[in-house]
Amino acid sequence: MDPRFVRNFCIIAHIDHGKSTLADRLLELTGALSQREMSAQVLDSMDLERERGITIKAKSIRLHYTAKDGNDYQLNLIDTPGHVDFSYEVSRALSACEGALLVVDASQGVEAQTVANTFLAAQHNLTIIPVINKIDLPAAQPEVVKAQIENVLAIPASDALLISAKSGLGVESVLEAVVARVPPPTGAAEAPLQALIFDSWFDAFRGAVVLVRVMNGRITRHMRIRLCFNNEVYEVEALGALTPKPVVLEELVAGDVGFIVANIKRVADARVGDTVIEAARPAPALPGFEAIKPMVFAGLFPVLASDYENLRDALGKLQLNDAAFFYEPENSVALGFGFRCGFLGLLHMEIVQERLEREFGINLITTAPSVRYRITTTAGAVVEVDSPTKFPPPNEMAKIEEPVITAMIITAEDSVGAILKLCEEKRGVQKNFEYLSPQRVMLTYELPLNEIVLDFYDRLKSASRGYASLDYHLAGYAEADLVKLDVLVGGEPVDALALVCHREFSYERGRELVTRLRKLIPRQMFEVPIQAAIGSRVIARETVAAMRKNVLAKCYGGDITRKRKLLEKQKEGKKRMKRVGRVDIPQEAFLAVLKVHSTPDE
Amino acid sequence: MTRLGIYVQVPFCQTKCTYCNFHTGVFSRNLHIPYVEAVCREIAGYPELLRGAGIMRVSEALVDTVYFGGGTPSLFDPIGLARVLDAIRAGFECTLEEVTLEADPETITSDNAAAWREAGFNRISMGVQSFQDNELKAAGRMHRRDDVFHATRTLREAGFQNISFDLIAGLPHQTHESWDESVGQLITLRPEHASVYLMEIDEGSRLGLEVLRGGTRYSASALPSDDAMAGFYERACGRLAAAGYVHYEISNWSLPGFESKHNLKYWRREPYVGFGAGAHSFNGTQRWANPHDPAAYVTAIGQEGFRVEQLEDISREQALEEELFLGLRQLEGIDLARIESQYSACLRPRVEQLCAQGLVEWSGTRLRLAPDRLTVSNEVFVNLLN
Repeated sequence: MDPRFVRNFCIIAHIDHGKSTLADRLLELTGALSQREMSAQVLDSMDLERERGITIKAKSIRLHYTAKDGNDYQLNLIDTPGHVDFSYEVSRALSACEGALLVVDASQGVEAQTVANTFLAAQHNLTIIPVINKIDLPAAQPEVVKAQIENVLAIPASDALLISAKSGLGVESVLEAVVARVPPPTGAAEAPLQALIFDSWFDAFRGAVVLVRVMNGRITRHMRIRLCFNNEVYEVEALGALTPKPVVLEELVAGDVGFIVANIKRVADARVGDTVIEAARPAPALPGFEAIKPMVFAGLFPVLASDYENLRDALGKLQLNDAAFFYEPENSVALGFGFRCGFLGLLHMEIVQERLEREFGINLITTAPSVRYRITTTAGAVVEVDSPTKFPPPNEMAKIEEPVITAMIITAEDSVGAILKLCEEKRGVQKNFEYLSPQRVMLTYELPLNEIVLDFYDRLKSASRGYASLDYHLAGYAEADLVKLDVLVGGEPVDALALVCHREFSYERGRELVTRLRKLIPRQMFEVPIQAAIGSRVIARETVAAMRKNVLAKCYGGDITRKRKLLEKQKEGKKRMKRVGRVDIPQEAFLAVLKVHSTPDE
Repeated sequence: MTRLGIYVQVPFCQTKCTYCNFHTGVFSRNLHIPYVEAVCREIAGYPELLRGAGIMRVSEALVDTVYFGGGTPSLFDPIGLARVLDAIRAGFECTLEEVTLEADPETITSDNAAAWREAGFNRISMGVQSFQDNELKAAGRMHRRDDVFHATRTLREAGFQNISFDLIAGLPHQTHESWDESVGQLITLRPEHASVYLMEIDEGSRLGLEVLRGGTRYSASALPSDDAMAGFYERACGRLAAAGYVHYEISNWSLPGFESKHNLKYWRREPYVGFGAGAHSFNGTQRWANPHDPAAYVTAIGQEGFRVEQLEDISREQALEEELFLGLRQLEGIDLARIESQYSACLRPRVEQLCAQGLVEWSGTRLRLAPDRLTVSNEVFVNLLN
């Protein structure tokens, strides 16, 4: 198709502002799907995505639209993940577009992700079309939201579209605006091939299915292509577009968006951001590629040791579809055999955990999330360590650096005090404080990632009664006075309970942790000391007294079954615990590390 | 001949005690007579009933113990209780050695006591629970301290020479002093038999629910701690032993020769048959129970549709586990060699572990719970379950 009639665009929005609903409406309106075929929110195909209302993987859908000017247009709607964990994937998806629909909820207004995504879109020089959604809600304040968009995002909003994606009101005008305002793609069809990979997924029959935006040149069937990152050559077996049903085509030319299948075995071979070139006519790789690295790490252990093999298989299957997910075997004294896993962020971690439990039926113990520290040893070597258990002894560390993020928090004015306090407690450094309106404040903080992964988000939500929104990006590494806090139960160190924290907070953390553990570790046949220690120095101690009473009393009229059931229940309870030394530790205890400080009064 | 025990369940109470987690209730007195008739019908129709349910009857059984438990069987008119005993005598070959009636102190009058003697009861198990009025009141008991003195005198005057008292360690408001006083009163009154039960907290009772969910109605906040309860129990062990009582089962003591013959059957896996709503039975290889609801029981019994519940063939493995967790409740312990050979089981490694933890004692042939660790006996049982 003539590139003049092609438009590549995406929708960016804060969570729940109506991105998926609008996408569905556009599909319906352009006849891509009949109403009958629409199960709500086509773009969110994973169950989990639908339940959480988050789009996790980007996809693209080709729509055909006859505009009021009488011309037929090919509109490529490229979906973007809506969560900070996936900001790299968002940036690559944005690179594939010329325009973005910025959807803002008419009652909620501009939120942290709105700002973050808009900045990203602006960086990629996209034409941004503001769309104010849910204008049929009683609480809708389109004028206030317009003013916010202009003041906060510096985007003219006088011509913002007012719509209700739910009812369909004004949705047609969105299509017209895409045609009229988003520029057509540029790029030379006859130049050597350069195509940007912005998504890929694993298909059991075809290997990796790769979504590309052709920037220059063309891809044809049987073409021998090269992927720049791994420098391998593949032959294109099939290509086409998603409408959303796959439609096989003969070629994709500059400006087009579509899929290719080329016998690529693993998703990890077709990295998001990589460039597809023609083997015979090499061209330089497109800018912006990063081999994405996990930022958050945690140990995943099967509750039942017999599930280890299942877990390994399941992780393998997940990784087929998720190049950002990393795992390697880990052996814990307390938890047995499991895996050290790396994730893009906490949501990514939760998704993997839930999929393992739900789709693969494996009960897991997840250790406290950690980040990747950069440690300079006294011998001068620099090592990266993603688990407290891998920390060198205190006397062998010369310097510890930790990853630091820039966080943007938008909140109501009345919760600012509580949030400032939270950020201080989390070792944050304030970078900016800005009133978006008399009632809304945008805070920018530099914070150690380590503090974010513990319980920051939950506490932010509770400090703001659910209103504050958060977005962040990695800002680099900074030296910090960190210590590894060991926990000893019954005199034995429990590796899975170790954590890294700032020296200044170590006494407090240690005390809270042992206090919490004392409540979670059931009484045993003997007294159990619980200690927190830095190196060999014990900084806090609690004791679980020996159990005094566990006896069944009356046997009502020879009812043995009841006694047996009670004993079996106790036996089951014991089985679900992990034994360290002589002490049975329940699973909840391993989660206690996560909760340190979140509810001080509990 | 195989000795057989008969249990008659009377799930009727005047009020429900706050700690009660058993299937009993406060039902209309109008149901008493139909219930007695139903139990008599069940006893008379017992052989057919078992045949219909595919249950093995204990062959050549000689009934030597009968136990009326509840609920509060002493609420029933003595004539009704006598009718049930007569039905048992008619339906089974009997040499009744021990015939027990559970009775609450406030129901013990000289007329009743005489009638019970007349009917054939020779043992009264009295639900004393405590000698402190504030504790009794909070627990929802109908009687008070003085009723216990009066009832004991009445029973003695009627000629009962085998009386048992129940005490509960761990009632709301109980203290070390009040507990000591209650145990002291028991020792002074010198019943032939005593049971001390540790309070069980679970969602099956109103008090237990209050502990779990909060509230003020049943004095959950005044419950002694687990440690205190265990302390009460241990105090009682010492004082009862000093007073000449033999501790023969985790919860039971008696003057020499007055062990409860009927209850020992439970721990020794000897057969017993239960009659009445919710009553449990065991024939040596199978366990089963009657429907719990008294009204449903009364309607169903003798009808075509009557069915026993929870019928279970006890597997070898289950039987072995029962031998352990029931048998070990007796302070004399179990004959490990006999059990190992009977079940071709090797228990020594686990036993040695438990010995090392000081939870059991092993003389080489007999295995028993360590007398000072009885309050944590479940730890032993759980370890011995497969």
